[in-house]
Amino acid sequence: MDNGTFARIVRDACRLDSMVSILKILLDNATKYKNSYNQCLRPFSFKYSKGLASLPDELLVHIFKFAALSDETKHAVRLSHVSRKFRALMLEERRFWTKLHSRAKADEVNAFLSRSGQDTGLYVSIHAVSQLFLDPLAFLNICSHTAPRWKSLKISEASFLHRDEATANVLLKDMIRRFDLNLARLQDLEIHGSVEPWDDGDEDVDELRFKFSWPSPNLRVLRCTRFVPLPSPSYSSITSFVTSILGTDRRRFNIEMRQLCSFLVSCPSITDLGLKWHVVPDIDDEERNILPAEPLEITRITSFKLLLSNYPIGTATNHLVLAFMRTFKLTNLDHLSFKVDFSPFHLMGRQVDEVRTTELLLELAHALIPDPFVHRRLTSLSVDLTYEMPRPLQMMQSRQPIKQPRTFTLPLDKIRNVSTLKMTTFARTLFTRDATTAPSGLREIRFWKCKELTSAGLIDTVQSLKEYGAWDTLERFVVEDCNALQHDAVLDAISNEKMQNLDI
Amino acid sequence: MSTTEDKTRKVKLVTSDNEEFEVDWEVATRSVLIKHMLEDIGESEEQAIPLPNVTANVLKKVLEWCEHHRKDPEPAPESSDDNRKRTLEIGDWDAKFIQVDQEMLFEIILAANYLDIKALLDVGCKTVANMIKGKQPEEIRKMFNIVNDFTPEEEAQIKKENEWAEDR
Repeated sequence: MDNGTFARIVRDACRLDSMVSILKILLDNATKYKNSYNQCLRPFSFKYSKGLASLPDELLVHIFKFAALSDETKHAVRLSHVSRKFRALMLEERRFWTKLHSRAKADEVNAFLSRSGQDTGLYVSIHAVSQLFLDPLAFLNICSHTAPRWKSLKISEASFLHRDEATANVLLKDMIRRFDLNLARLQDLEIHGSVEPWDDGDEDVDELRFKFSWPSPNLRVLRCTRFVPLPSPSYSSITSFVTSILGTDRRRFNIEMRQLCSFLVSCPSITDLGLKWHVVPDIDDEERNILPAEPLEITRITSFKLLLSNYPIGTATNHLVLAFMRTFKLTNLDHLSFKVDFSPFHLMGRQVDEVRTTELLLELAHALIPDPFVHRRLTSLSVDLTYEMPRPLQMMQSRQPIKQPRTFTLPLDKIRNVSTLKMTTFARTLFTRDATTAPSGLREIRFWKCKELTSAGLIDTVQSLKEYGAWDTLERFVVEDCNALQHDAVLDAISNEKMQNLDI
Repeated sequence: MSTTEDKTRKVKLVTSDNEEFEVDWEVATRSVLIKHMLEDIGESEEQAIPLPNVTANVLKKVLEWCEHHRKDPEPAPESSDDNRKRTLEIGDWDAKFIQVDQEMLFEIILAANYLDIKALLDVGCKTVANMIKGKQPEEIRKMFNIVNDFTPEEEAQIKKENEWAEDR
């Protein structure tokens, strides 16, 4: 052995000695910490085991049923690996083995299918991802024969896919081509997209879109994200439809609105509509270019829930919302719920002062509440105004609270047919009205989870109701989970006979 | 169906450690067991209802829940296939209420089961389910001091299944 080699081996041996001593120290410390933890946990573990051991089997199964509600699909396997008792209870209940996921390996899917019995309803999730990783169609090859048992089907896609790859849209088209599925028991269908399924330059995008054509006579609920389905007779039984539109630019927004309108017209049974709209501030308010000139009359819809996400409040966006709301003429609408999740930068910006914010909020109220003469059956309204402060601003606010009171004004003239109003808001609520119109129809007002509502703010609300003649006809006033209110001040403002529930 | 007379009526309950509680009829009858016992004994107001499976400190806690929920509507009968309608969420008040030590948590679950108060039973079971959620088998064993009692054959099968338990 030459000197150089010898020196290298000695150096490596020294390194190994150091590694051994470091590992010894780490092992000693880890053992010490482990013993301390065990000592700490022992009294609690004793109580846990005493409690859990005291539960009869049917209560353990009841707990497992709740654990099965979580989104994860692995709970059944994990619980069945805890102890013999847990395993026996889990294997006995077929419904614990009914969630099938395309990420599962073949033997896992087969085990779930055999443990779920012959007839139990199945809940199937298929995740579109590049076939190099996991092939969703291979999963379907194993379980497509169980399609008549599927009670729900959820299709989602990986966010990193390119639109030419196996997106939800491409996967569904493939599924339609290869599998003749009979979805006799399917009730819920979810399609969650994240990749735009068409070419930017292509106007006729319908050719590229998947068309649901499997028989599904019991389909009731269709929930989509960034996916507006093509009209199909297979959707004729759905009663509830939820989707989101993004509208990254005017052209895209136009396309999505056209798709949405044609889908809604094609579904004769939809009674509940939910829309999440991410309003982009750059869209200008040339509304005639964006939305159909004639309102779309849909008589079946009785409930409409609209969520404006990260809403950049301003006159232009308020006008866009007004134009959007005028697109729909829902003559049998009974319940309207709108949640506005404001962009904190637009709400709290220095250029927007209290007076201006109040004006913009009133403008938004006018935009969101539809014409009462067209929507005569609208009797229930839920308003949820919220914003989430980014973490750095939250920290600043906790050091020096931003005092910027805002007022949300509700025009009583526009809610003349509404008898039940539910409010969740960060702003003080005031009512206003044109004195010449008919008396208020409000019978119940419920303030729920208004974390920033103060006693003074609530007194102002009551005062505005009295001022505009809507107080005497009000029968119930409910205040729940509004932590900033003071009990006595609320009771002073609201008489006992009107106060149905006070839980602050 | 409760009458106006029922709503003003008081009910006496006696726990296993012989403590007596006098509560409103509307509060006591959140328990289906007590409701049926009251129907059985009829109008006799003096007769106390014995609850031999519940101690005073647990009943006090259960009655606190019943008092808060006295006006809640009757729970709908459970169908065999309503799993999808349920959620793991617990209301704010209930979440604060159930922040008790573990011994009391299991006592409340047992009492709610015995007294047949479905909504309270669900609050307790959801709390335990939330503790179990997402945990590996070893963590669950450690948390609840459960002995791994699988036979070598079962252990071999579980070893095969182990990779299923990993999230992918």
